[in-house]
Amino acid sequence: MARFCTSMEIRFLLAIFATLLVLVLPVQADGGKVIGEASHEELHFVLFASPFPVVAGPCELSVFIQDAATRKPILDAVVAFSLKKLSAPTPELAWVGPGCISSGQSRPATRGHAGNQFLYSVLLGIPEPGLWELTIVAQHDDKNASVSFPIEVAAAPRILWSFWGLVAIVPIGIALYAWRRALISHRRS
Amino acid sequence: MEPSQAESVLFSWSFEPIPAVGSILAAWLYFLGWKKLTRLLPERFPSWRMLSFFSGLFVTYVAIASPLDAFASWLLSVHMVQHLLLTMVAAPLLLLGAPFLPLLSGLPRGFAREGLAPFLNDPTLKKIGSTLVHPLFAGPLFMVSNVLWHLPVFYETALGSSAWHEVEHACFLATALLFWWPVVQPWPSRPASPRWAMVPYLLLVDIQNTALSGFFNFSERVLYPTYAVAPRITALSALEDQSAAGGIMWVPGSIVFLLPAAFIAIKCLSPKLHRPSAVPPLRHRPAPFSPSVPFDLFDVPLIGRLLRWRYFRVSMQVLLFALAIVIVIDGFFGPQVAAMNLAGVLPWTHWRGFTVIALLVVGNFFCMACPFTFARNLVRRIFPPSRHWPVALRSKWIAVVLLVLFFWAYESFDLWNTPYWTASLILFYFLAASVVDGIFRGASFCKYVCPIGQFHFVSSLVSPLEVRFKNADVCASCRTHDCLKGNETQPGCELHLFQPSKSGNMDCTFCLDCVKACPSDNIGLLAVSPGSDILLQRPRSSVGEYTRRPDLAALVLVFTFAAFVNAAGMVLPVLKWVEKGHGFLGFSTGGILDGSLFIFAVFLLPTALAVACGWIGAKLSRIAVPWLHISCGFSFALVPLGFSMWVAHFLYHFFTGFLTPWPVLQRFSKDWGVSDSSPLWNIPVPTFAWFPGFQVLLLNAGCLFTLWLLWKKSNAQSSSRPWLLFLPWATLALALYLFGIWIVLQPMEMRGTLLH
Repeated sequence: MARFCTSMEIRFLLAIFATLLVLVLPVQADGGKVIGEASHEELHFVLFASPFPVVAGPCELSVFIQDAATRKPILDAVVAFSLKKLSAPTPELAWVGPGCISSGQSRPATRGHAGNQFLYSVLLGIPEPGLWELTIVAQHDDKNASVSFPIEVAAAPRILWSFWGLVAIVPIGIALYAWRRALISHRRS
Repeated sequence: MEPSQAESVLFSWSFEPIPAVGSILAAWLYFLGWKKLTRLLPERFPSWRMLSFFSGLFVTYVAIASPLDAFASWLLSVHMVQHLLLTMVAAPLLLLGAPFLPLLSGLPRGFAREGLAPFLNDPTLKKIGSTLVHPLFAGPLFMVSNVLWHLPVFYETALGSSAWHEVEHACFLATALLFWWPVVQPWPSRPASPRWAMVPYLLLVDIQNTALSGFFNFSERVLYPTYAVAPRITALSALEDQSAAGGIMWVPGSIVFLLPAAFIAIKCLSPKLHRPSAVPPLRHRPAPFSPSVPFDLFDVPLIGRLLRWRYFRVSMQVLLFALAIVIVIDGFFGPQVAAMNLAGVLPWTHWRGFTVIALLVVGNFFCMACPFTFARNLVRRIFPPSRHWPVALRSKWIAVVLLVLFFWAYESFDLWNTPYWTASLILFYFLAASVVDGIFRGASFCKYVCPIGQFHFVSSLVSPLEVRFKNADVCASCRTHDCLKGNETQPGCELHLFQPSKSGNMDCTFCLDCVKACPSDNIGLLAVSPGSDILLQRPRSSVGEYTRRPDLAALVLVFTFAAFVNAAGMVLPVLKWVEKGHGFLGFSTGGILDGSLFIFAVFLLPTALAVACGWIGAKLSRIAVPWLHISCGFSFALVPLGFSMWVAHFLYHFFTGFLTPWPVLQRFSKDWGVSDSSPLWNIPVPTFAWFPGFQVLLLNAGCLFTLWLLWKKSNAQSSSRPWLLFLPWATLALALYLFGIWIVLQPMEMRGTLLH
């Protein structure tokens, strides 16, 4: 019987955890805010970023490419993103993590990455805050078009703040358990 | 729109894991509950209710994951359709399924009774629930939510942040569920107002809806700046799109409110239909509840047959043995760059990753497939063992020392980064297993020596499966004890675990010898509540009581603290501090200093802390139990926390280095003339923005589990002052947890890849 009760309580604990997990897990961003538009070589580029304002760390950058004259979406281009830091290096504010891009490094952007199939997207780890230049190179119909956008990248928030919702699970879980116990003892008394 | 563009629009679905898993789980629970209820109350739960609930879930998912969501930030009209689906279609469909009882009945009975019932039966919470669904509260709340979220400041916030967008959708769905509740009045809830009151209720909300849609229709400027700059993929301008959105809100929106209002009005005015319907009589007597049978992995088709196959274990062992040989060869003769060598990649990133996944999801499957015991068995055919393991050494102390040495060597000699040493270690392991078990009978190496085995034994205390008897009565009537002693065709348990008195996975290698030996087929791989063995206060077969095993407690403490120390050793701030410490003390490298620090951190410090917590707890709570027993017993409660840290750590390497073996295998094949293709070293390192969050969640689970175990243990020891016994241990667990959170949120070395 003791084992049986134990199993029930463990299930209760797991269920609290699973419920909270469902409540706080963020869904991946898709597209985000328009942060710039530019045209080159008959192509028109609309750049999106998520999160916005852009902060150091993982950032989803997406571009919507149209024919500049007809505004028809271009869906068969080969697109790459690269970042170059324009302002002075700030290694003391560096963000390091998987997928972190270095200045000048290029990454391909694909239509499969985002839910919106009109977008060419990539998730880039922006290593430092400051002023960056994002260059988008698109190959389409044997032509290369390239546009650059200045991006002001803010310092990453204190990392604990980024995960406060998840860290809060422990005190909330404890509070729920204590509440349940209080309800049971109240009923018994 | 061209076909290619239309195709892109139609395929613009995103996979939203949480809503998807949540919907599937809700549907499954509803189905389980509906199956039970439809037998008892078929008139209350006809098939259309289930269909309605499933349709509600489907519409919700379509609203948040379909192209409607992908283009919601480009076209206001599309965004409006998305919101209408959530508030006016999904919510009433879900409620028409009368979900309360089916979902409750679908949950595990124990959880519903022990976990939810205290909340559901509480009068205050009941009152709050009744207030929330009262028309005088739910109607205004729905209208306020609708108006507030359409104010440009809030709407723009939601468009600019995916998190706020989710909050907006959650608000719409939640307030819609409350709003539709008194209209649908899902059984068994009781109406708080007369039925006719629903007519003005619905009309009032329709007036609000009409006013809001008119605002969109007749505004002469674009209300939301995001749509003014969004790419135009249709012929509509931003203003025309806004008018279209208003039209969608006005016409279909009004129909959804007016139709039920008309239906209710007709029903109320019709004397025949106004008669209150009597509760249909029960056709069947409620079926008595049958005790639940635990899940047995052997009952799963194919997997069960495979596990029972006579040569299953040896096949797995041969596979890992062959892999170990390949790793040893490459470790000695391949390039001495970890990320380019099988010995640098497979054991430290993939084997460890797969092992902890197996321990978390099923159980100790690595010991089951252990290649070292395969080699040992071969040796035993030539040199059969004749001696018994010395009585004086029948404890875990040797294993504890070896485990500390193993962790120390890993850090000090950078084993993960030195293929030669990794290969040597594997060879040494083969040798040690063969020598020990070539001399001593049973599985002496596994039980008393093997540090990897001890790691798995401790981890598997929180695994969900256990090799366990199915029916206690069958064991009670057994006189041959084949599970322990074996028989003519099958050896018994080499680790001396006797099934009727065995508990938990400590010392169990999942060899399944007992399963094959049992003549009554009474042993299975049964589901147990993870960690329940830790709370058990009675002697276990061949293990005894945890409270009287300081050696086992030391093992558990090393396991737990090494998880944090080992992970801390790969984060940049700690590496910098260590470097600074060397400079400050004038050492060029760590050597003895680092070794001493390491042994202090994984052995001396945890021992001192456990002794202190046990002593303080015993003194404060004034219990008669010796503090040593408290220290030993309570140390086991730290296992979930330690294991969660190991999982968070190993899975980080596993995911970041997941693709690394592919070019390494190409290189190995080319070196040994198996293939001509050159390795493609430029493999991408995936960006896992979600991974630190996942690690935090793992640690949360470990921490909550540990705290709960500590609380249960405190209550079992001291009924009058459990808090005072609990407090020192909880402080220790929380300190470890916070340290773990700090570690996983730091930049980490990407071991096992070419990017360090």
